[in-house]
Amino acid sequence: MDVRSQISMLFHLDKCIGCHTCSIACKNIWTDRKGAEYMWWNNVETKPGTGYPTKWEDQNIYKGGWEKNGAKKISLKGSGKIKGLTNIFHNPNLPVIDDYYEPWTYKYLNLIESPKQDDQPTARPVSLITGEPIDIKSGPNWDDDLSGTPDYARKDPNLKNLSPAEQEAMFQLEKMAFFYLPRICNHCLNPACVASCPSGAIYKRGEDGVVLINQKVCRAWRMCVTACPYKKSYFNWSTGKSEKCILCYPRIEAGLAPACMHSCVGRIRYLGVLLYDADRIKDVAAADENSLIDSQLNIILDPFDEEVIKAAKANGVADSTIHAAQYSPVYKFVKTWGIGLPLHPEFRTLPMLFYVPPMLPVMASISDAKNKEQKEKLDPISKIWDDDWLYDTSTEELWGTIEQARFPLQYMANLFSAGDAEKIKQVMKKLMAVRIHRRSETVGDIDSDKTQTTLSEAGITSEMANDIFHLTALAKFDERFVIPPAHRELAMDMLENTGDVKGSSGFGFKEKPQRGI
Amino acid sequence: MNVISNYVIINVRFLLFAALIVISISQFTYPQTQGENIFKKTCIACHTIGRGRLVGPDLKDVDKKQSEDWIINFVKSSQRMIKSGDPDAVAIFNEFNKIIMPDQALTDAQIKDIIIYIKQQSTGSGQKTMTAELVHSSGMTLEFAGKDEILKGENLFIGNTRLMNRGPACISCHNVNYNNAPAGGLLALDLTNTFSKLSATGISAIISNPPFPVMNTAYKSHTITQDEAFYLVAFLQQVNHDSPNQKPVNSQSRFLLNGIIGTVILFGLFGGFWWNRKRKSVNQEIYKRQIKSI
Amino acid sequence: MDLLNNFLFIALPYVALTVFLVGTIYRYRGTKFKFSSLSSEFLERRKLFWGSVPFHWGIIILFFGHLIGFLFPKDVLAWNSEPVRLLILETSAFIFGISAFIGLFNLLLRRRTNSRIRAVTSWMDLIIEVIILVQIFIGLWIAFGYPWGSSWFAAVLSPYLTSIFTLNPQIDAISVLPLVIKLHISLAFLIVLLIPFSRLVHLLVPPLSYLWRPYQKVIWYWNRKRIRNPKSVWNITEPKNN
Repeated sequence: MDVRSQISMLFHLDKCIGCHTCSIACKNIWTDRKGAEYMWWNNVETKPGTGYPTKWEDQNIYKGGWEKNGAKKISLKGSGKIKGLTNIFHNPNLPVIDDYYEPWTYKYLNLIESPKQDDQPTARPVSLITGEPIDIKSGPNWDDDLSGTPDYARKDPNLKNLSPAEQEAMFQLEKMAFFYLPRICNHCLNPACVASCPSGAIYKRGEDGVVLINQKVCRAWRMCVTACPYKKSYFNWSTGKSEKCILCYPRIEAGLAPACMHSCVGRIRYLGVLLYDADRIKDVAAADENSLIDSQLNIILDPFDEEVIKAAKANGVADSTIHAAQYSPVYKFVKTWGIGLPLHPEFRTLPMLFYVPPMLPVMASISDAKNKEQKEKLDPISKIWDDDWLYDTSTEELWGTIEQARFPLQYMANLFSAGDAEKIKQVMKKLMAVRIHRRSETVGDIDSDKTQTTLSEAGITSEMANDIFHLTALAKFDERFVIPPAHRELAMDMLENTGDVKGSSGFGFKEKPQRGI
Repeated sequence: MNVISNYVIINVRFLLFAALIVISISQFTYPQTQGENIFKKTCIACHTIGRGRLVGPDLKDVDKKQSEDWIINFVKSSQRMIKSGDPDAVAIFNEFNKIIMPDQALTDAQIKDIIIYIKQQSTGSGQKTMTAELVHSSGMTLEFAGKDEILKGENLFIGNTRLMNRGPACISCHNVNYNNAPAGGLLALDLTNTFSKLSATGISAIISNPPFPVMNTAYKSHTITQDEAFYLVAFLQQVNHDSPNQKPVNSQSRFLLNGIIGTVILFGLFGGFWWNRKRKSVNQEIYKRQIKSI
Repeated sequence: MDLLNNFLFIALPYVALTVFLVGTIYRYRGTKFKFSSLSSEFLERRKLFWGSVPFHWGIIILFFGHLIGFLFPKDVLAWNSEPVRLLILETSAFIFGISAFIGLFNLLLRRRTNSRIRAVTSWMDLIIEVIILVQIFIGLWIAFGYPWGSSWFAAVLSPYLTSIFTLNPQIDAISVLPLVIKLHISLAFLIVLLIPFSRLVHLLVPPLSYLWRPYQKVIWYWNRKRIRNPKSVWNITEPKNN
């Protein structure tokens, strides 16, 4: 048992309101620079939708992640030692700027410096790459809130094993539903970007599992961009270096939550330590498709287990880190309650960012209704409204609604459980049971027998339901972010004399990040 | 302490060091060589001192026949002098079958050293005259060289048989127009009719001690043996003899054609190997449809 | 003429090699961030394929061809002793030369015509591309006009290069070579000279260690086991990754 600690994240999707505050916070701190304009280390996608870059989940196009070949063998899909080095002069699967969007700004000066004329002056959009005027064809979140559905949402790769009828149902105007999927780097346990980097610039920090790119070693071989199935490694076209989310490690080391999490309006984000067994990563990554999730969750160890604590200490995990692991909100969601699932586990990178799947679009169902009477009352224009359905939000027969949800469970399964709808259903049942339990507690219009049945069917106790409710709805800052001390007193590089670098370049980066000649 | 200024200091140190290296190296560039050494290295293939004419004239008492300046100029570039119409130079050129004496990259001082050496040697007497005739180690003379010897010479020339001291085959730089011999190099002279110009003595002298700097370098530590020289001369004699019956072959255009065909095939391989590359951006379809719908 | 030869074949090589050595070491130590291949595939990929691929494969094979001719002249001559093998060697080198030439020509064209690529083009990029293009052209000219280069390179230029590296330059032979060959040699040293000042530094950091390193890479900032052991001596170690 090789116990290591990993800072991991949990996003509660039911709480996400799609405000993009996280993206802006991240952009302001890290990527508001030349060459990084198009980078969104944190982005929020509308699902169903094609995401960013367009269709990133379609690995037939981008060849990201690992693929299983053989009983206990996996290999990188689009890179690796042989493929990576033969493709080094021209990476055949690299996403290009047009798969994202061409960054632009406006010539605002035109508005105030324009001479007197008959027409209104306009601020023409100009490309941030070439400086020439461009026609804006797309931008980040071009498909936000299902805009451009025929082009974007309908081409969502997650629709793949849904029947045509199911797909059609999702896009009927009256039945349409969507939710938001905020994404940052998953800081995977089996990162494809690290494995694909020919120069060895990308590495996982042993102490907290943050995956970083050493900017001085990166040589622009571009393999990480292909290899990351989540497309969270971005190529800076100006400096010729790849960049990615750094989980705000300078903030984490200082005990602060990452900027995206700190600024989250919906408070959907949780951050905490998980202890895991590094010896088993290989087996888990090569597990069968249907046991992928279970085995991934299995290598996360119980931080209260004496054996685990002993092994962790022997392995150099600090006491404070073990303590933080015991209070980790992520551990509670993922292991204790079992309602957190990784995004696209089938890419086999063992992502360490978990999601609580959203209930909202599932809750209501569509039921057949011959609402002739209703129609009579409508004014003539609306009489062309000829559907026989009812948007039903009643709480009767709740289990039924999950199965007949207007948002197919299979779609959720394609996102969060490698296509296993049963897994999603279990999580949904738990979430539903919490709501029923809380309703019977606070409103009291559901009798306790029924509440008990639903709770036991979902496999949770009423205490658990209360805990879930508490951490979901009432949690304070310190409960959402349990950040272990970074022990910088042990990191010797931090002992450099601050006076030496004062006024010249500051900590860490002694050299201006400038494009080479 | 500013980090950048640190590097500047290191850089300056490096540059000084580099300059030192360059200066000390330039000391090597003007090696002082004795006249004798130079003569034996560069002149001896074509010239003797008091042993009769070879490819070029006997240099005995050359210092008495011509002025020192004249000799220096002629050694440096005989062609320039001939073109400028110097009567002596033209006379010598015509006398020796219009064989061009290669320009020598020697300094004035070095040429003077050679002249001094020639002076010393010219006064000496009692030396035997050099055997001018080329003889095989078995005692065979060129007149008796038959098919076998010619074939051996051909094999040596085109490289099928390697030279004993591992020098490059003649074909690397020389071409001959002869039956099935593959196209030779064009860096140096075409040797098809050399035999008639230089005769066996001249050729063997050049082979055994090449006066041409390029050839000299190539065979400096890979000398051609006397027997090999014999076979080669025999071969060149045959080549010269047969030359009126040979059709010229344009091997260069064939080489170019092969290269172009090969390139086309190579590009085909590139295209085929990476056939499944992502050719356009994913958004392109969307843009196209949107523009159409406007 | 003497002076020029001395300059081109003695002074220039030593200046070039010294500047190359000092320059790259300085640049690697001082501005490591700027060591990058500066790929522009992200901005334009379609035309890049027919430029980068033929150019790089061509130039790599030619480079190693020249290197082998320099380091193992005897083996090259032994290979060339069979005229058919000589012809195969020369023709394939010629093919890769044409491939590199067409590739680089496409790259240069792309660099001049694509506005996105123009935005990331420096003067040095253009200079270096033009010089290499001219160099490849001259190389093709030599292969065409002065066969069989593989043999005479091994016999004549290899001793010259050896003499350069043994600090005893012998330039008798090359100072009487045809002008194009002289130009080819001088341009080669000029390119060596320009390496530390251009993006060519990326050819010094080929990612070959990738072949024998394990796929995953974890870096610890401190020796985690040692640090928890009260009996071990406290020592200061810098993390290796920066």
